[in-house]
Amino acid sequence: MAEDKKHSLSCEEFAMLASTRMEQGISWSDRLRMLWHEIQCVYCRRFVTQLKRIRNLLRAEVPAVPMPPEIRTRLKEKLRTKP
Amino acid sequence: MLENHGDALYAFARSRVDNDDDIADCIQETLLAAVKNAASFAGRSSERTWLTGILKFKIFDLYRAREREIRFQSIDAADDDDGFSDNGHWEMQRAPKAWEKSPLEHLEVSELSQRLHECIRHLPATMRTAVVLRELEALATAEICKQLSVTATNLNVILYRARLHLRSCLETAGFTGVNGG
Repeated sequence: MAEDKKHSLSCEEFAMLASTRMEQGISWSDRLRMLWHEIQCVYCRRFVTQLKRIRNLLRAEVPAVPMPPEIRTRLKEKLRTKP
Repeated sequence: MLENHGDALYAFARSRVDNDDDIADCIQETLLAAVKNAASFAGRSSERTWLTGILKFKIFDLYRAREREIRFQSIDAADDDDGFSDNGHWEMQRAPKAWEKSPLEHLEVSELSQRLHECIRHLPATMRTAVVLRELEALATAEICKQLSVTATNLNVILYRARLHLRSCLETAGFTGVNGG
């Protein structure tokens, strides 16, 4: 029974491994444990898809945000006073 | 330069720095450095790319200065507020929802991206810095560890915690708006 438990992942362990996998390789046994968990858990399947979506969004273009007028004015003044 | 590139520089800095005072300082230093080193701008890239490159290093300087001030407080993987119950399963209310059936799916990519960047601004400083370096700058793990003076294992934990926050923030934003939940 204890051995059985070692082979299965909790959602929390799965989530940590899914994130680590985006940074570095993980062992074959961890991959298998992830696969086994993923088959059974819709939330963790979503989690993996959503992490990838987030990475893709962040590595795409920076959203356009105009500089607030007060910062522009402040910068203009500061730059004017500098030699 | 402020007229032509101010908005672009501000947008770039805004995703990486959490407050307008620091953003203004970084942009100011960037423009001053640009004026001082105008001769070294060889026209190999556009003026905006050149300025953004300078701004990036000013922001890294800010991170380094802050890192010395803050030091890393908590890099523990366990967190009472991470969305998992004591037995390691998702808490029902906070388990990942199906985004394809949520209002998130109907947002333009640009709006989704804007909301996500707002979520980054709400991250604790350490997590925000790690996310910026890893996801926005796509720096290698080893390089980030050096910049933040942490081990690879610690960085994995910081990024994991940051991703939990970002995922849940974006999901909340998708349903109720960034400041709504």
